[in-house]
Amino acid sequence: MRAPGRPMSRLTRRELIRRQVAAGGAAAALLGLGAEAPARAATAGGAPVVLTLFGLPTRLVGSTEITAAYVLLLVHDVLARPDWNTGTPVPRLAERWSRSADGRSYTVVLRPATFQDGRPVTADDVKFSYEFYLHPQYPLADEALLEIDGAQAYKQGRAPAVSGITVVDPRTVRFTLTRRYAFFVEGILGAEIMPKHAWTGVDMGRMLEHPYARRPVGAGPYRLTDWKQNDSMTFDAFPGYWNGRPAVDRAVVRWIPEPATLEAELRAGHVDAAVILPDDFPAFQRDQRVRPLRMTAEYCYWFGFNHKHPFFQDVRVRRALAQAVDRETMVRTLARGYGRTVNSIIPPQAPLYNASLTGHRYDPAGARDLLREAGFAPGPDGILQKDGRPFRVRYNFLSEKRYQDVGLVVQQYLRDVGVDITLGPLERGQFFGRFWQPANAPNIEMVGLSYYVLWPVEPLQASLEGAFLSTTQWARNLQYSNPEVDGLLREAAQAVDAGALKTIYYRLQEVLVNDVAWVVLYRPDELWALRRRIEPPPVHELAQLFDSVARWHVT
Amino acid sequence: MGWYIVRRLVHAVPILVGVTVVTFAVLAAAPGDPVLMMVAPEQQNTADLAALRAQLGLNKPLPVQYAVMMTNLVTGRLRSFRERRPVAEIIGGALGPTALLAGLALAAAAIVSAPVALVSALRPYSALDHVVTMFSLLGIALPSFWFALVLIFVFTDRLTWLPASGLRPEGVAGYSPALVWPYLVMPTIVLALSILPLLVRYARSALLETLHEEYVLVARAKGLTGARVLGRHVLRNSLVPVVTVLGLVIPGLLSGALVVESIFAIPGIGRLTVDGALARDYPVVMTTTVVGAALVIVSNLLTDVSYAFLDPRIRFD
Repeated sequence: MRAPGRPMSRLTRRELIRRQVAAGGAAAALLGLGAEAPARAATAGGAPVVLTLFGLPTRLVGSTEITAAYVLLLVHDVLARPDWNTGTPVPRLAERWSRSADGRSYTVVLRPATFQDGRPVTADDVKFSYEFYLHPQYPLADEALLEIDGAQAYKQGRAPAVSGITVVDPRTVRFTLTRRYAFFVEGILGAEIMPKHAWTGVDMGRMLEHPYARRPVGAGPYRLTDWKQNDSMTFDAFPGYWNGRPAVDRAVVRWIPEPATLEAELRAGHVDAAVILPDDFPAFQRDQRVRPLRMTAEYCYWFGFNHKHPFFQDVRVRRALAQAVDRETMVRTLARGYGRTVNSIIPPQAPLYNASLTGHRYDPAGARDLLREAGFAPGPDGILQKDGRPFRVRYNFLSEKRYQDVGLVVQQYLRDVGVDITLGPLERGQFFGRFWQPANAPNIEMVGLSYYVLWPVEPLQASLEGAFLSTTQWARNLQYSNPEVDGLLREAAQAVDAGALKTIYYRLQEVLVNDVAWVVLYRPDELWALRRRIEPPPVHELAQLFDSVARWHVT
Repeated sequence: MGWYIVRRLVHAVPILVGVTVVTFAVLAAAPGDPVLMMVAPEQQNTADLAALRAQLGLNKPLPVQYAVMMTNLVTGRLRSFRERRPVAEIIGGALGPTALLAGLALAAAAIVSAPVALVSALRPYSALDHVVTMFSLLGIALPSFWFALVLIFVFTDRLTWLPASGLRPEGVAGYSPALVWPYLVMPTIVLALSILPLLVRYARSALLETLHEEYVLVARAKGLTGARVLGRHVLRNSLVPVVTVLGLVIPGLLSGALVVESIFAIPGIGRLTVDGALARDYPVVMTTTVVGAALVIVSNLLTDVSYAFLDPRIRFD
């Protein structure tokens, strides 16, 4: 019913259409429809470079996340680090250093450098940084730093400072060690230098709540300027970086979980650098829009045994299982040929990798012979038996596709020589929380896993000790104890020069292969693709790629 | 009505307490150690795990841990195990993207479903109705992740028209519509299509039922135009079951459409919850669970209250 006094409206079809179009146009204008898709926010020098990672760190201080290690290469710098290719020590914040005659004392002279807030890097900052990492309440303990005189006492709260670190003058600091230590550069000089003025007085029990925990100030080429949780981290170039203004003004590190999305974004140009699945890499090699990059992964796949298990105590059995597996075929099938077999956890590009080791060649007939020698005979079902007990064991692994694939292949190969393994995938929390613990060692039979070695960011000695030293958790989990291995590791820690160290490490790798501590399977390639506008220097691993961002040539 | 709402909110308190108890019990019983999840396996040998546990309060008896967690939750001081940031801040950051996406998807689904259901109900069992039914069933049957990947393949990979990840360009703060809209197109379509068929089916069914009511026949017999019959007598009376479905769907949308968030790399509540659970970040899991439960409670309450507005015969004591 019409309200009184208002004329009846006469809405024609033309007027209705006109009004609808006008309304639609207004809505479109409001929403910016018709505008071009927004370009990435440009910075002086061009659009930001967008890299991707398989995750973002949740914390940057006291973190063991591999993603944190990568992004911190952008923010922080160290006194020195071995060259990525040759292992030769390269000075960074340290200009030079000298060693005392007894080999226990190092005098380090700093080069003129500033933190990203403009304050100079001084010897006080160096001492502070090491005492920060050695603080009783710092959750991690770097074994290499404990080689510094007084570090143990300080870490245990028995001393107010680390007596072995002395500030000689504002640009000179002296490190006194408890003994001669072969890994001074990679183990001790590789710690990130923090600004004392930013962290002084922090409650170490609550250090993650400190503002600089999420906005770190370092002496590296980039400053973290934005961190959107689970999304992206933005790094802006630090013009005052000691090694020159970074070539890339802004780098953004993003996390895109779905590989198909990631690859689509790379092709479309929305990201500049991304990891590529082996199945898809050939297509990217043919794509003119991108530059394929084939690097070596920082981890290798391996499987191991409980060395106290009645079956695995005999080294002939372990060698048989190592020979039963065709690792070359595993690389061809599981990694699509993008990888290489390795006989050691040491990265093949490291100078201390023993390339002359032949390892265990695929020889199923030889494997059966060894098992026969060890007292096994085929049962009625084809499964080997010894003393009436069939060779059936559990093979546990992380419930991720890559470990499952490896497990399935290993299962088939071992079945061919008469060993029956039952695959037992475990969720990550269950695996590391219950299964992979020394208390559970008697229940572990076989395990399949990977092992990260982030050399030269982290010293090889720590990686080797972590895996094979009988007192460490991983060795205890597999109840592995070899006095010769322990002795060689101790000897390596005290080696005097590179030549002696090489001899010891080569021998160590031989022993580990012959003793079959683990069966190291293969090291896959890290396959990436970069947009053509990006030209990095030659790199061979992912950490090196991140370390090189400041030197990328971008068109 | 006011007292009814107050009573419902008061009843919600013991429900939420029960949710926290069950959630805490499940977290405590689940295998996995939050501290071991925070330290890389290769570093567990040298890390001071006992000190980490003490810092997080995990060395205390379970009832004490629960009491401390609840106190911190209620006072807003609860901190994530991994990041040591207030969980409220973390969830606040994730809630925005999820709310934006859920709101748009819901609006899109509602806007599209209304005319489609109406046309389908006005011409039941016609060719058009059969087409609508077929697409509805297809929409229910097709997995959303597949559809998302198809959209990405077409619009990002091949046509390069739309970005496939994130919510905004790098370096941009806030959610300016002019910059954000390209990022929302595909996720909104996928999420909307996950609820659109359901809305269409329920709305059609409700409309069909109402159209056959005697009072609609009387209205037509009185000479009212079709539009007037629809607008004054049919639509409003058909909304009750549709609102019921919306009340069931909204909490799920706001809790985070995990598949959509994962495929389109949207940092929302869904991904946050799953990441927190996998990492055994108890405070994050507890808070997102409580938030989810609260959303269900509020959604149910709003649904019930809306009945009173839609149907004057419904009164709450």
